[in-house]
Amino acid sequence: MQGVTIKKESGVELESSIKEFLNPKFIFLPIKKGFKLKVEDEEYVYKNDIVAMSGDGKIMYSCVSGRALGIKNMTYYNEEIIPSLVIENDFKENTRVKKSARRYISDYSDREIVELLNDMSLSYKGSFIVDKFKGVSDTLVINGVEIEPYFANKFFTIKGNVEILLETADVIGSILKSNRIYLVIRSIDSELISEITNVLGTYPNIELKLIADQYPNGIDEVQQKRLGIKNAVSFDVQEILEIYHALKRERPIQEMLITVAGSGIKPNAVIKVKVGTLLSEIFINKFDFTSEKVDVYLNGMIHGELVDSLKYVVDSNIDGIFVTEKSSKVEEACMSCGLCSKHCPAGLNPKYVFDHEGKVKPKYYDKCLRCGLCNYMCPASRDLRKYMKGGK
Amino acid sequence: MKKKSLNSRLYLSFLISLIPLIIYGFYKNGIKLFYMDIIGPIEMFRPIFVLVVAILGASTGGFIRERKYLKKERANIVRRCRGSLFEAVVLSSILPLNVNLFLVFAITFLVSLTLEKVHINKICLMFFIIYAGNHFLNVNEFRNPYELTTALNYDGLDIFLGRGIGGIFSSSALLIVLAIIFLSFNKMYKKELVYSSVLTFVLLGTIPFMIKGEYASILPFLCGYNFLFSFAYISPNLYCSCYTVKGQILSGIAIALITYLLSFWFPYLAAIIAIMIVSLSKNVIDRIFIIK
Repeated sequence: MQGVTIKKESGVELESSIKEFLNPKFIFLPIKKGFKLKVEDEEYVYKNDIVAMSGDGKIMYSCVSGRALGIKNMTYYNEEIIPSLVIENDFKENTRVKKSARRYISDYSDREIVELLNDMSLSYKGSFIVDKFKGVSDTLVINGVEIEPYFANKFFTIKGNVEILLETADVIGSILKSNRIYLVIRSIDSELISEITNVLGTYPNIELKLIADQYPNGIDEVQQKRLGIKNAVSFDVQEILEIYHALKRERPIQEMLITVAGSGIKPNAVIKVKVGTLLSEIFINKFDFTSEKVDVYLNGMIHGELVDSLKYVVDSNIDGIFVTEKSSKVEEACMSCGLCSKHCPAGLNPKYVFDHEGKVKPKYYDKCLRCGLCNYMCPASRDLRKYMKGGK
Repeated sequence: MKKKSLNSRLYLSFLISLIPLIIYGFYKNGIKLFYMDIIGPIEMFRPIFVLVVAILGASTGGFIRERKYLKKERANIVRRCRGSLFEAVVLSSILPLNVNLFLVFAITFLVSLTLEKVHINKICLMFFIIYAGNHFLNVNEFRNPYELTTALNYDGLDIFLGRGIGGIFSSSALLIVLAIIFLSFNKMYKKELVYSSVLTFVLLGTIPFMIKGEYASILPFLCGYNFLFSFAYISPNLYCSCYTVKGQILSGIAIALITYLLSFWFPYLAAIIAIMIVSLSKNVIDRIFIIK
């Protein structure tokens, strides 16, 4: 397998500071199976109020104050439709009680941390964070490398939060009984390197690891393979920040970063939004499409998906969007160039899958990392990832 | 999503890398002979005529084949025929200089017209038919008029630099080696196949001569005929060669082995036959290396 240096489009340059959109008109909170609503229609909800609770004590908080309008089916990442509580924001950010934050997260015992994360049902990209604490791991990896080439959520998460991230990583490392903790960032992020090395001396068990700016080095499995790390538990930097926030404030993080990039939209920037905001609202208020005919890729141009609208509700599964002028490329016949199999980080053979469509064993697909590199490399513009999804 | 023109760039790279060979072939077999008063002004352009006739045949055949797309994809006709055009250019480079031009036109035209997607190397196929036709017409002569009338004694360096006999622009091993290096920068060039075939062939061609102590015979054998040119330009055909990396390496070794064995009997056909045999078994070779 070979990493690929992505040639970036000219003129696609992210703004140097984070933009903000923290006052959406409506917030949508997914009421998943097993959760019971704790507010009535038209009831006034304070910020940080409990709006839903599961049978096993997991809690869902409101991130704005305003009027609850009832339940509506909303679309989330991966076209998942989930009934969601709609809260009309009154832009007052009223809270019932001001809860003080913990002074030091190291005050918690290991057991308390795991219990707290479990009670809060803290999840990241569809998986419960607490699941990673089952068992021990000699090596802990903190992944600070973005998967998508134009995105910079992790860069801005690390920037200014280095102390917090290292402190939390140290706490997690002690729970997992890890002897080695690696913070991995791209070798081109010189600004972060100097910021991290200034603080790193305080944490002798944490080591900074640099990795080439190649695709798909942001994916945990690929990253560990490239760095020669074995049997490690990996956390994203945003995940670490979520844990820190949960330990410090005893509630999940309510704001997150998404990147908006591409030649089809202005400006290109990383934007801080509230979890539960409708993607389309952010764009109406903060961005302009430069052309009427654009292709919008949810979660990036390589590992993301082409979508026809911005109907999605923002959650940790959404890293951003990439907007580019509409492509006129049509699928051509396979040329047997072998680029798909040559570059597949999982060592799979996408051509073999589409040549034998329907005949390939499902366990073959399970190894696919969904990185989309086969699609990106294919000179015949074939949607190879579609074939690789066949088993799931 | 992104501008994808990798295959166009590959064809372009191939053509760019062929330019020095074309110029050198034209000089060696045309201009030089004209200034030596061996051939007339029209004969001087014979290397170019072969090239032009092959392109004309392939483009006419390709155009008729793709005419159904003419109305809706006017601009794409050239793009759709670029494979046939490229094949014609490569074919013309390995043909004997005094080839029958009508035969070249007829074969390139017919193959482009009828065989679009076949699992057989079309350059090899066309070469065989033209070679057989030439044999019938008794014009399979790879030496130019000067070489035919003079007793020449080329050494290894002459052959390496291209001062020896050869097709139209396939005889300078140095230029071909430079072309391989240039083409290796293209992502779609199947360099694993080329490297493995060249390396195996170099080993096979060197070791026996070294054992016998005939060092002077090494370069003429390795750089003579159309071995290197065929390995560099014909064997890594996109459609007719293995696509897995290991498959490419294995087929490169197989091509070199077969070429070496056949070179004792039919040196001009050895590489072409080897590539043809291996291209026909590409699916079998690939299947060995696919993890299921």
